[in-house]
Amino acid sequence: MIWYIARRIVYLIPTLLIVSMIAFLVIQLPPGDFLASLISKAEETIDQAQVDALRERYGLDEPIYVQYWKWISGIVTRGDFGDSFEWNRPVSDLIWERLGLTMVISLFTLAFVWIVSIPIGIYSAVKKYTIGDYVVTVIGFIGLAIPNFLLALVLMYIAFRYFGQSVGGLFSPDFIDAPWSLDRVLDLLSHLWLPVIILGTAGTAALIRVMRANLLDELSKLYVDAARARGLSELKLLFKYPVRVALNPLVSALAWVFPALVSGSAITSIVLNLQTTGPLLYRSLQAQDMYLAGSLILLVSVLTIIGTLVSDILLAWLDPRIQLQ
Amino acid sequence: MPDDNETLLDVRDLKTHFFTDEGVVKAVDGVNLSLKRGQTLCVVGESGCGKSVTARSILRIVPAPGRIVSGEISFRQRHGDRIDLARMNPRGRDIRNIRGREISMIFQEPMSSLSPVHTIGSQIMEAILLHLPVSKAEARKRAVSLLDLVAIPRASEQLDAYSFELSGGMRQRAMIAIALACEPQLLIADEPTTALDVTTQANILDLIRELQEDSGMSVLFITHDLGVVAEIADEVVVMYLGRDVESGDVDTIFHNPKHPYTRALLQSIPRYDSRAGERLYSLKGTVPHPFYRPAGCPFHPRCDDFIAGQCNANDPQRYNFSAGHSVRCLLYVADDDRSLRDLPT
Amino acid sequence: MTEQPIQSPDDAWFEPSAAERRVVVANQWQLIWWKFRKHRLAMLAGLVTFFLYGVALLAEIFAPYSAGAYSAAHTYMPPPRIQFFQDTEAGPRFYPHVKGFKVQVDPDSFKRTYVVDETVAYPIGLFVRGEEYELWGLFKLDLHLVGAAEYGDPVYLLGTDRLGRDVLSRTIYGTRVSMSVGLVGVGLSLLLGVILGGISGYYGGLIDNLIQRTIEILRSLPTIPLWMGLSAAIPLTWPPVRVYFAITVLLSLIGWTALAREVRGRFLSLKTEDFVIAARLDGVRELQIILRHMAPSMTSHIIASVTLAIPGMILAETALSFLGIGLRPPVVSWGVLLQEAQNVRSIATAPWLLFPGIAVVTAVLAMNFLGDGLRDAADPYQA
Repeated sequence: MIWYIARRIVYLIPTLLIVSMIAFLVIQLPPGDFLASLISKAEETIDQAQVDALRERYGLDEPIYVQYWKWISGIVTRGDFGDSFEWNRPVSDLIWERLGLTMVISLFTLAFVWIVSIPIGIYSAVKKYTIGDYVVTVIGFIGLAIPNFLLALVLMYIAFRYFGQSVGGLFSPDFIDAPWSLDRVLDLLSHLWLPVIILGTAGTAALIRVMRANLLDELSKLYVDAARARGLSELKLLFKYPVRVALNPLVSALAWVFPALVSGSAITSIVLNLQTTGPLLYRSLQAQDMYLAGSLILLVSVLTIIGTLVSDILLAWLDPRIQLQ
Repeated sequence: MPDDNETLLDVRDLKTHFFTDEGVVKAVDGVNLSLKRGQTLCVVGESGCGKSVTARSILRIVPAPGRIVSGEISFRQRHGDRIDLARMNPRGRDIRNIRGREISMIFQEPMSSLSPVHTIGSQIMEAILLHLPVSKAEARKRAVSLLDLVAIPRASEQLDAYSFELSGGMRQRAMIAIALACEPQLLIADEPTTALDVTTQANILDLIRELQEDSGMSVLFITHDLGVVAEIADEVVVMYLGRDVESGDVDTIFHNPKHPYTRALLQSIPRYDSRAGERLYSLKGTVPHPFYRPAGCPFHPRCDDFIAGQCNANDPQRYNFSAGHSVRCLLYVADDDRSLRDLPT
Repeated sequence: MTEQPIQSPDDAWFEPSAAERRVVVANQWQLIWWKFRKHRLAMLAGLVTFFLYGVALLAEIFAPYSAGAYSAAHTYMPPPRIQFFQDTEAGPRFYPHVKGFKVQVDPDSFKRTYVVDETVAYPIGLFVRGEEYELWGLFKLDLHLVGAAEYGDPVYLLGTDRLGRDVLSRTIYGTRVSMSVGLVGVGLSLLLGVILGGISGYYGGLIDNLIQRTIEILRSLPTIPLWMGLSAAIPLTWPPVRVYFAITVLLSLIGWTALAREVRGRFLSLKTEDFVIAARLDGVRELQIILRHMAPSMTSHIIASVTLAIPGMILAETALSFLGIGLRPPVVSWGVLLQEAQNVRSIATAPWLLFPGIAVVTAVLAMNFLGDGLRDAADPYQA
């Protein structure tokens, strides 16, 4: 097991390398020298010495690989992601809390998705071709077809129209800039349900289908008959064998569900005005605040890659066949 | 219901049909068989003749959309009472107390009949703990001795092995160990050696025979391999299209077969004394599509002794040649004007 | 000879029945079609998809107005109720029409509201004359499928937006862009997917490993932030058509992985099939094996996967355009239209602005069901 984990971590290195290159590419993509846009945006004139210092710091006169090296080595060795020109602060000051909140939302949503989709998927497979199964299937398909942001808009509209409430945000106004405290955590939790439902809908629908298909596959396997022939009751049998085996692909589905959640949360957060990485990324892209944008893309990607790693390890622990490969 | 104490299992006119969207498949359509204590009954037939479904019907584990539509499965329990398994609720507690305790079953593919994510030991212990009042530790001890019994080397280590870590033969041994966990009266073996290579096959057959001698259990052995039948059977039932066409003791079936289908099966075995270049007899045609059952005797389209107007019109009844030897064939029905035609063997 | 020949057992039974013979000689596509036909929901979904692409092709005819037509006097007008009968002295008469609206201005807040004006009725009809247009740049027509019977009446069946543009017409024009983004994007993905997946599955070994790792990396990335980053780099000065293609290229650059996996999986399983090995032993050239022997068995699966991939593209385009970093006005796509409904306030004023959302959901739903049905039918030889 330890060897397996070690191997997976080694595999991670090239992935991280490529991700960092993509993030750097995003930084480099906008046309023109970002210093020029910085200068044009600045309210007071920036003296030449300062410009030269920045030029030196980011290696702007040097070849692209040197620039990349300066950027990535700064991140790895000093945690220095560069400066946000729009906020005029180091990027690292701006991102950590938002990254944390993104993580919190994604994990809660993940839990929601699992808690809802597994029982429904089991029900749907065991009662296949019944009315209940059809209802679940149709609702699942609709859930897959509604874009997150549209669902967010509709729910916000309903809340506004019928309950006169303006939902959105992750905190009540009093807590937005308050330091962390138990009350702030509770406030966060009370705001979390809406984004969790919105983000979780598509994933839930997808996982119900995966669970149903897997379980149907497993239910027809011989080991189920063999266990039944041993005298096991139907319910015990169901959970001990086919459900247990059918959960494995669900765990490996984490590898794509988690990135999808993080990814989906970007748009939903913009619509719902959540203090996660999504809106910050959006604003930084619009303002061409490229070091902030690139760092966000890098960190969000790293987050999902770690999620994938965790799912791999979890799967290896659940399914002893994996470790052999 | 038979009232003698010797008959363990008696199946009368069992019909198990599958109700699919396309139509009804009469997988088992009137099977009779009877098995005495301590004996081995072989059910032989081509693929699709309903032998596996018969076996599953006894344990009531016929997969949906199949179900028993009529017939009787009389089984003599350990304490002497007879019950009709065909009338039991297939999901009920009563049948669950039979499964694994009184009747056990092993399957064709040892590869897939063990759970891929549970250890061998946990599956054996599960069977023990379900039916016997023992502690976990005792169950584990018993599981080790069971693995010893089925000759799995290093039993206490292999208890924690997963099925994918064992060879095919070892897996089938493990399955047998699970089946024997509660010393059942009847072991149903559904082609247990088909998926194994020849040497392993012989080992498993030997094992089953030894275990049977030691414990005195009965074995219902499903196979399409007449070689296997010759080796282990006391009694034989030949099935074709969901029916028993001939049944008798193993000597009668091999040396004095009456039904044209039985004869054809026996003729199609390669023999040591056949000359080089001699063509092996082969049954013509294949088992018909389950939706299109021939009228009359189901075997008539493939029969060498087909009588037009008879075989495709009349349903043959059972004819008893002697006690324990019966045939379903119109060749042997005594008409008023036609004497019984006995064919040379 | 009038005597009935004795039916020999051979042909009595072994001749397949008419139904069986039909199955035996039917080719792969007939079998797929028969299997697909049984899937009612997928059939319906197929019709809906077909209809949507029809609308996309003939948007000019389906839409009552052109995409850019506006009326400053009718901003944020709600959808009217369509009435089919009018009460006259001689009883109700068939006269499809909509009631007009009066504008009321709240004296305190100066907020404009529309009130139904029972005295005005605008007749509506099918195949009415309206604005002139050129269909596919070829035919000059002025026929519209549905609209005001009299040219010039302010009939907006699904209401209007902030500039007084007809929501129905714009949604119909949006169909053209949104549905084709999916198609073009998937086309590009397919090209990448088939080539890379094919190479990966056919050659195996190091190349396979490399491509698989790449796919894994791409799949573990959060696509939307990446898309956001990349599409933000599209210069604002680019003409709409170039932006459109840039967006589809971006979508397919990340979207090809699923198709590549499918192709690779198929290749791997086909490679060991007896008929492929037989062809190789017969000395058939590699390319010939791929094109003549393997491709036909894969096509149906690929079509199913493509159908399932299109909705993802549509959703992605909608999301990006909604945020304002995908397609941009004057291009009309569902996502661009939904930009009008970006906050609760505008939705509360004009909930009908969400109508393009219904179009998105319908299209995605239909193509998901269709793709599901196709996937089930793709392997007709399997029970």
